[in-house]
Amino acid sequence: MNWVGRSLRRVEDPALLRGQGRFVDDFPHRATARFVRSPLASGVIEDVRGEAFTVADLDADGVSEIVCELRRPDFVKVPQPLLARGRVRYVGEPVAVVVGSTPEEAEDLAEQVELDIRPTQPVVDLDSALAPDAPLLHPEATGGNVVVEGSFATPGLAEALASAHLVVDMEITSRRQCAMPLEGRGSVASTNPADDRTTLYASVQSPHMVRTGICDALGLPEVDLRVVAPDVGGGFGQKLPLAREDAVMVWLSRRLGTSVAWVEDRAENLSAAWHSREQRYRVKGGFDDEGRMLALEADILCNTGAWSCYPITWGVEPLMALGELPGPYRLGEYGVRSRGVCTNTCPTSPYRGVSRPVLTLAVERLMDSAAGRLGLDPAEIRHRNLPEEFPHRSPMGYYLDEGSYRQSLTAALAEMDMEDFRRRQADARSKGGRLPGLGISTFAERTGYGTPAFAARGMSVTVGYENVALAMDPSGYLTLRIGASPHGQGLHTALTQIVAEEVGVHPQRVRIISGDTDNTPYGWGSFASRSAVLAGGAAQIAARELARKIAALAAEEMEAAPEDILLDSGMATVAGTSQGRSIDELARIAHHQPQRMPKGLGPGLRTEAGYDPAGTFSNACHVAEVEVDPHTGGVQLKRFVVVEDAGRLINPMIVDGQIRGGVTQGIANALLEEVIYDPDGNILTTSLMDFLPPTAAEIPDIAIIHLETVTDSSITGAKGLGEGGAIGAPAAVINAVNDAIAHLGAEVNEMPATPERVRAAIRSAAAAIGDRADAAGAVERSEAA
Amino acid sequence: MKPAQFSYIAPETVEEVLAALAEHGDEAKVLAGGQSLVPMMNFRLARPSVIVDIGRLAADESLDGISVDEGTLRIGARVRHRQLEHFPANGLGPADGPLGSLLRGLARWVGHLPIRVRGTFGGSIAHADPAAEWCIMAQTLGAEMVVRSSTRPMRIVAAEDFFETVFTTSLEPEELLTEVRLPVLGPDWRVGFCEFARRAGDFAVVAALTALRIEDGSIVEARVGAGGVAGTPVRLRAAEAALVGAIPTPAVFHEAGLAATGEVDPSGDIHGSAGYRRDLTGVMVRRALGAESIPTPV
Amino acid sequence: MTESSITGLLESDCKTRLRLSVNGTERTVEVEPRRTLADALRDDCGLTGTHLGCEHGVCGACTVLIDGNPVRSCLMFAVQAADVDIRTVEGMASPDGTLNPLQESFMRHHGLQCGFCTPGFLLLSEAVLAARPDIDDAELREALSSNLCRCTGYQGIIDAVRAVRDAV
Ligand SMILES: Cc1cc2nc3c(=O)[nH]c(=O)nc-3n(C[C@H](O)[C@H](O)[C@H](O)COP(=O)(O)OP(=O)(O)OC[C@H]3O[C@@H](n4cnc5c(N)ncnc54)[C@H](O)[C@@H]3O)c2cc1C
Ligand code: FES
Ligand code: FES
Repeated sequence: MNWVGRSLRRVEDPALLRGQGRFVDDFPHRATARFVRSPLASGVIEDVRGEAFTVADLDADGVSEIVCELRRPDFVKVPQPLLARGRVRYVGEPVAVVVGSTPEEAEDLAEQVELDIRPTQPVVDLDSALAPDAPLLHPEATGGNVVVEGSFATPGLAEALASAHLVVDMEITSRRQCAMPLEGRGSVASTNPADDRTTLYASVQSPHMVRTGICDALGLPEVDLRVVAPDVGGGFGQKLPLAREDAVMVWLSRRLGTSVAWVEDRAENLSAAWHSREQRYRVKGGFDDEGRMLALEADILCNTGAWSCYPITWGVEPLMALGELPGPYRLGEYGVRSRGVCTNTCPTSPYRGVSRPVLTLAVERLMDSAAGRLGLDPAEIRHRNLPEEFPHRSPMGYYLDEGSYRQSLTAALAEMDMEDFRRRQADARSKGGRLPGLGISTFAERTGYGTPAFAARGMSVTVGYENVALAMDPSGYLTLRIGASPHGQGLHTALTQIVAEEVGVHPQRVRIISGDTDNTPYGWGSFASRSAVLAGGAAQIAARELARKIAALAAEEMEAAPEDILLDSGMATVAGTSQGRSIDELARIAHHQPQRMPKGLGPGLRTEAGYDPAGTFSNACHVAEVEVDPHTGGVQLKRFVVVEDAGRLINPMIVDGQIRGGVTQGIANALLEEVIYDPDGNILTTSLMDFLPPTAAEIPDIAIIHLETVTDSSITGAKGLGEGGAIGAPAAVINAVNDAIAHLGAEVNEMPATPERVRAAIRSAAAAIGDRADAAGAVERSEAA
Repeated sequence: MKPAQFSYIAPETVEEVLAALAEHGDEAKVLAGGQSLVPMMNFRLARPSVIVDIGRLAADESLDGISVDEGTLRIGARVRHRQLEHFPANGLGPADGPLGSLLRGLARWVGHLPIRVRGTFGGSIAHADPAAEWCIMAQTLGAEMVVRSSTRPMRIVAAEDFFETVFTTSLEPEELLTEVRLPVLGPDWRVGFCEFARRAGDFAVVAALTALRIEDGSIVEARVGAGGVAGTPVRLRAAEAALVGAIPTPAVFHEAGLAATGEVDPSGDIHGSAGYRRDLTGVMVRRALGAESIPTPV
Repeated sequence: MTESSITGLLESDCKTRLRLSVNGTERTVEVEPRRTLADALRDDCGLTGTHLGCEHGVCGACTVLIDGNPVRSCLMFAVQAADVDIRTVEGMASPDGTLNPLQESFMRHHGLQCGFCTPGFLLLSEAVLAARPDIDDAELREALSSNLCRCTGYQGIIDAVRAVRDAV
């Protein structure tokens, strides 16, 4: 029976649907903690008055800082105390913590703590942080606020640009974003006096890593801390790095000898959980007269916020941008400088796609702009630049394995019916009113990469591999323990399918245990579109090995050759005969009659496996159709098509859900969501009335077409795709907006393309033409007519 | 995000409400649907020490009714947004007309279904968000607010004297808004509305409401109002002047829009700069004037 | 502690004993006036299926039914809910755990991923379909825009509710 490739219902669902999910805030606890957070972006802490624990209490207990680094000369390593020491560096930074018996009381107590902070001049945005006389955030960063700076150039770059037929030079800006899982961060710590062990239930994506980080800071042996990630209400990267607050909870619980909870509220989540993607790219693309990109040069700035994140570091955004900017395109010469700049804002961490939504926007804008100037169709220019031969070597030396870059573009445009669209567009333009636009984005998504890729970054904590342990119990049921840890994406279901298929049992016979450091092998968790590829790969290896053992036992029992044993539908049969044994019966024998096991196999049925591949590239093409209201600048999504190639699909329903969720976040990034600081570093978007995640009314139905390029870069044949939706959508949407307003001479290269920004672009195009009889004015009158 | 402590009282008669308000003065807050007050309490931006819940009052015609009386429509303060949304067509009898469709149509723009289930008309008026649909309507149509207290005789306050600035009205702490009165609009009135918000259910960035009385093909009376452009909803007199006496054509509406843009002086915030709001005002006014019916939000 | 009645002034720091009718069962809780209905359900009744995603009325994760209508339980105080009929997600499946048609449909149409928004969407949908069994697609989308989901992109949720509507 084939289980892989079927849209089986999710094993996760029934409990969640009945309200029986167990999220962090659902675990019992005696006390509630609340953090007292800095109201100022920058200042010197003169005094903290009130019943609260501060860094002095941590110091007295010998608690040390969180430390992580990239081993490269340009990296500035700054140890981070668990609570602010001496200075505050962003609004929302935890300065002290109080403990009450209820959440209400904890909040009362927190209000009573008086912070005496002498304000100092903050640096909030990239330009002010880079100014020659800018105040320095960290004494360790002696040379300025640049905390990581990478650069790279191929030898022929300058010449290729100089001799290019066309050089397109543009600036692309992404405003600050917040992953905003619907469940905020939080944890419940309890310490058992009998053995002095602490258990931390935490809403995290990587419990093993969190345990390591906390134990390193607290000086605890890892055996004395159990970290459990129960049901996690979304993460998208925001629950990947170690939260200072989680470490403080472990310390508090040990210090107070009680169970204590910290549940982040939405205002804290929006202001003091991790932000992301405040980036600016200056890109220059050199093209020949047929639209082939010959050279790409970029200067990239990423606002990292006030602190590095453990263990990925504040190098993650700038260095990914540096490495992956060229995307899938064939181009000879590439040069880039990419800097991470620290500021008095909330620290940043990976958010679904990390830098790729922005770098894809940058390159896809270049393509459209070049196409416009060369009189080429946007699809045609991409066809001319996409790779045909694989593996395709990127200028940075990555190898893109086999993909369907051109095919996906063709398929997406066919689905959209381009001719019909252009007719409708011309028609609408002549009539006035709303302006249709269509935008394309093609990209590669690097997924499922293991240790080598992370080691290349020089991480002091190198993540990458995944381990699993699989056992069949005497009743013939299987338990798979995984080091990876899902955060809502249906990983358990996918793994049951892989194991069931290999072992020849029904998926209902497979249980997955994850997210518990006491009960799973060391591993990393869910990020970088990796868990299905890595945990799936390890599960397949383990299940194959277990199947081999079952087959060997069956062969022994039935006096057949192990190669002739088929495992299917709960039976071990001898090929070509009617002879068979149920797998249940074999499981009993393995446990209770171990003397009957073949030599060297017995007793029991257990395997362990790890998987640590080099990685594989998925690819996709997104096409968005929008309508722009030229008078308000409002943008409405009309249609959205995704052609995705993620290799072999383990559960297509889950895959589609990942794509739709990712695209929705991408649309949100492109049009709605923005974290806003004022010049003094006060955050202005601390509610969901101000930070604007989309509702069902803003998101269109998303059509998905799958292509399946077989890869041997992943043993299951599956490529990752958890981030792709978020990576491709912003470029498709922003290109569509630009397509809609291009005839007015207007251009928007900033996301989110808020109505005001779109309207301003149309206005300034009108002003540039210098006369109200221009196109924008004409549209205005056309509505009046 | 939990509220600070407060004492709670849920009287059964209006007199008890008034007594409680008089006793506790500005320490107290009336709790109606809670859809604006409770978020502010949860953020601890509002921290009344006494909550006077009017949710348990026995049903009361003045507070809960919707009725027409000699050219005046009375809407009780406790009427929920949802009731107005589902108010039957012709529910006001012969007086239904343009005003009835305005009430039903605007109600759908107030937040989302669960907000409309709890939130009250009077709560919206008393909360005085300058972008709230009901406040815009009250200001534009010249509503009168009926206000009671135990210390003074009942007073009737005109909308223009009622709305003072953002979230601030001329209601005294001991006063209860019991009813809002609106002029019935005859069949010769034509009403329009247009709102621009970032997401479904959000407060308007800018919204405009228009009402024109047309006689023999020309405009004899015009009311134009907008929200999101000042501390209170505003009447746009220049736009009105551009309309009165004219024949309703797109060109005239365009002129009225330009006049509206010229007369507002908004301040900016993260949802829209001053200039953007000014521009939007003209667009919203023009579109409201041109609207065939009250649009739906999605 | 005051007795089980909400007459007179309930002092801010005193707990009031209340009877709440949740999913047809009477439960007695003792709460301060400031305790929200959401917190009372979660912490005092142990019904943790009602989730908190914002506590300011926007996300809808806390949606429960009050006398059949969808309501943000983070914007109601428990003392306001003493004599109403409250329904939470825990009351949707039958006592033996069998999922009701909406729950079943959410599963079939992949209307949930992390499941944090799910209880709110289930109750919202139930109320919408009960009031308008023939609601059209546009109005359904508008009604479902009341709540936020961060994972699904909404299509699975809309498909799930549509399927139940069309099955009737
Ligand atoms: C997510 C969300 C979206 C929303 N979107 C919109 C929207 O688009 N448009 C819109 O207009 N509104 C919107 N609202 C607000 C909603 O309409 C509120 O219902 C309304 O503003 C307040 O009414 P209430 O009955 O809930 O009042 P409450 O919140 O109970 O009270 C509000 C204020 O009015 C006072 N008050 C209430 N009643 C009286 C009275 N009778 N006499 C004296 N004072 C009184 C209270 O003391 C308090 O200060 C939204 C709310 C939320 C949570
Ligand atoms: S928690 Fe109540 S609406 Fe978000
Ligand atoms: S399923 Fe995660 S928020 Fe909706």
